[in-house]
Amino acid sequence: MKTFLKQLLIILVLFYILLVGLDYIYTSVYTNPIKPRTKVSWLKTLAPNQNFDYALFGSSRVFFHLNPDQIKKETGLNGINLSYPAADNFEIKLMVKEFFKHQKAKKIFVQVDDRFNVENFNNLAIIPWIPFIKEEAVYNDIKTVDPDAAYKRYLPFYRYMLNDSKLGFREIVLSFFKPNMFENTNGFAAMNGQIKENSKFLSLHIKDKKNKHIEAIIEMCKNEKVELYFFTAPYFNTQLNTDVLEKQLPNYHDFYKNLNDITNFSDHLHLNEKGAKLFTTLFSETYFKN
Amino acid sequence: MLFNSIDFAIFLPLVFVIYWFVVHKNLKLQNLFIVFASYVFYGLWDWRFLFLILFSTLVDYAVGVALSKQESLGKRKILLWISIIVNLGFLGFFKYYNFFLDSFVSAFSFFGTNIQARSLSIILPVGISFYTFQTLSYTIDVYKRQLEPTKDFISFAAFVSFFPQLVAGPIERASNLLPQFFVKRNFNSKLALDGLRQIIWGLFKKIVIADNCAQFANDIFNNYTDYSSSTLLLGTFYFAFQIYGDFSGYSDIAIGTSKLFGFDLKQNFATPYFSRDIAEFWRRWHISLSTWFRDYLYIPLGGSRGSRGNQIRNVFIIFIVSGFWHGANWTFVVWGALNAVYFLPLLLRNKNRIHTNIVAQNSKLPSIKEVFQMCVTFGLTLFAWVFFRSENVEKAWLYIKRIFEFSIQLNDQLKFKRFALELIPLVGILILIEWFSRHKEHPLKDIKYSMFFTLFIILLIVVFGSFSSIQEFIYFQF
Repeated sequence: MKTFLKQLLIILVLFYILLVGLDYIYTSVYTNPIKPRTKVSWLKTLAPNQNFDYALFGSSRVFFHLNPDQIKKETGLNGINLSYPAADNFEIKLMVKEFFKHQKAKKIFVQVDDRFNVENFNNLAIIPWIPFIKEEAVYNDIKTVDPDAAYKRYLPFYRYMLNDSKLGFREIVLSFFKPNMFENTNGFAAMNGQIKENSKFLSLHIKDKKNKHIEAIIEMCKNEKVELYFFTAPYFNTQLNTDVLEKQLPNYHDFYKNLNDITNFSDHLHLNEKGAKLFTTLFSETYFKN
Repeated sequence: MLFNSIDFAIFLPLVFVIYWFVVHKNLKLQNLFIVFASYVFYGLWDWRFLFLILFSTLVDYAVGVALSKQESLGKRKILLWISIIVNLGFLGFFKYYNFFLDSFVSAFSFFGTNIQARSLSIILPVGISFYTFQTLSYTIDVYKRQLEPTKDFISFAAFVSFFPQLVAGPIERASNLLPQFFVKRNFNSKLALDGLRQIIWGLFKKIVIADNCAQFANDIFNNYTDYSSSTLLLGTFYFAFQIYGDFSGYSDIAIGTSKLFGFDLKQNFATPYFSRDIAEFWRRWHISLSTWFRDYLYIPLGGSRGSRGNQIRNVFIIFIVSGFWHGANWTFVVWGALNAVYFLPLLLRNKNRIHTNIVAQNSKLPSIKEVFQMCVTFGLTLFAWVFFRSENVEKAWLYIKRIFEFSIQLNDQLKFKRFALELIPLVGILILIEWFSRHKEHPLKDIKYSMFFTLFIILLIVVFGSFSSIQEFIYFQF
């Protein structure tokens, strides 16, 4: 039995060392990527202390909708799109917080929609933050919403195993040579295709109550003395009680019924390339041409 | 409880410690504890079906005891049939009731008669096909007087419910496993270490090979109309390694776990994809089931003796029944029949036992002829796997039809944003490791620098394992 337990112990110790080593390597690669593959990585590797005229935050409904290059052409203003697919209010808050650490902007725009009441983290959108969970500020935020945050922080390599398809070996290898799709467009990517003619009518509902993450964003912008604007991007064939957002949020603008032509939409929630172009123009006319 | 779950990672050390440090001094206690641990293991999935195992155990134990006292052949036959009817009755009800009902309804409606029949919502008890066959082997062996019936109920209950192999085999023969419960197990470091390494190897096959291949195979089979022939071929290739990694991985973990408790189970897979013909493949694939059917069905039917007609009939029976054992679907029947078609020419030309040794036994690399033979055999199994994997025969046929359109698109991107070819290097690692250890039970057995290689396999598991999409073992459904 002694021989067995000794061998088992050696295997376990070496296994632990292996995990610590791998954790260190993976985290180093994500912290200093040759090609940042996620918006979080990209934001963290941007040259510090830049002064943007504006910064856009939100989910795929900003990522695929607002093109800073087009806004620059139309208005001459220099902005950045820091939204990414699946991001809910919690992840948006993390992005805004991270932005203020090293960058500045005159105006901050946050897109809010039918996900306004969500206070939990999004399983998918949280993943780009996981390599940075050892940073005190990131950990303190994540642990408020994720009961497994401590395991992810303290068990070496556990977080990478748990998210192997998004943060695993493949992603590590790709981060050496495959650029992301948004770097050359200041954070924007276009969506293709057009929604089917016979698509169903969507009815979505928002509860009339405050969201703690959105409130935190309002507080942060107040402290940073930055103008904060909320807006809702267009939907297709959808009913949404945006009056709640109007009531709850300062500087709110509702675009949800704009551009309701079917040829502008890729699906109910997303504009296609043509729609994004029109919406970007509408957006800059609304906010930047007065 | 899955072998690749956190639950099992807690359960196994706990059972190990109690087994070797608390109940180790007494055989009865050892066996009683195995029964208890096995029932907990199974009960955590669904405790209601524990009564089914207990009932099967009681019936076969009682039949065994009765057989030992009975000399009349007629009465012995009745006892045997009681065991067969009870065991196969449960199996038939839980696994095949709806299938037969639906098939009858379809058959009648084909001839213009509509029958109203209501299928039942039946949960298939995990592992029923495995423990049913295991316990049946006991009564048949006792009936044939090839095995002394046991009067030790606890040992018998431990034999039927032994948790490492309860839910997906290997289907152990009573003659091999039962006697091991009659002798007090003393800790054997060498055996336990070998078991530990075999578990690690099994986890590699399951988590790295099977679970990764599953994602690719599922995507390709579910969207086969969108992909080129070359990608569909890759889909069958991935499925072949999914099912191999899944089932042989499970077997390795089961055998390795048994070794930790001082038991020696029979090898269930012996690098089957290096087979040079289908007969060899079936001697190397799911060995415990193939030999079960050989000994309890094929040979009693006459085996390869008798007229040509009988030989052909026996081959078809054994392969179709084997296919049907895997599931209540015509796809499995076609899969079995296809294997019979592959096997028959070898049997009829008396060439079914020419490859009984391992390939390239005395050299590192195979000859060109052997490579050709292995490729042909593997190609035939791939073709048959399409039926095994598909939801129904029609879909399998359409899938095969698309393969034979010969459209080649090597950079096909799958729906889940992966290139179809991406997984080839990983499967290549498995093939390489298995090739150079094809003469052994598992690659980490009796190896120089065993610690180094064990760590290397652990590294592969940690880096390449599919942890975010853990798949249930395929054979749990059989």
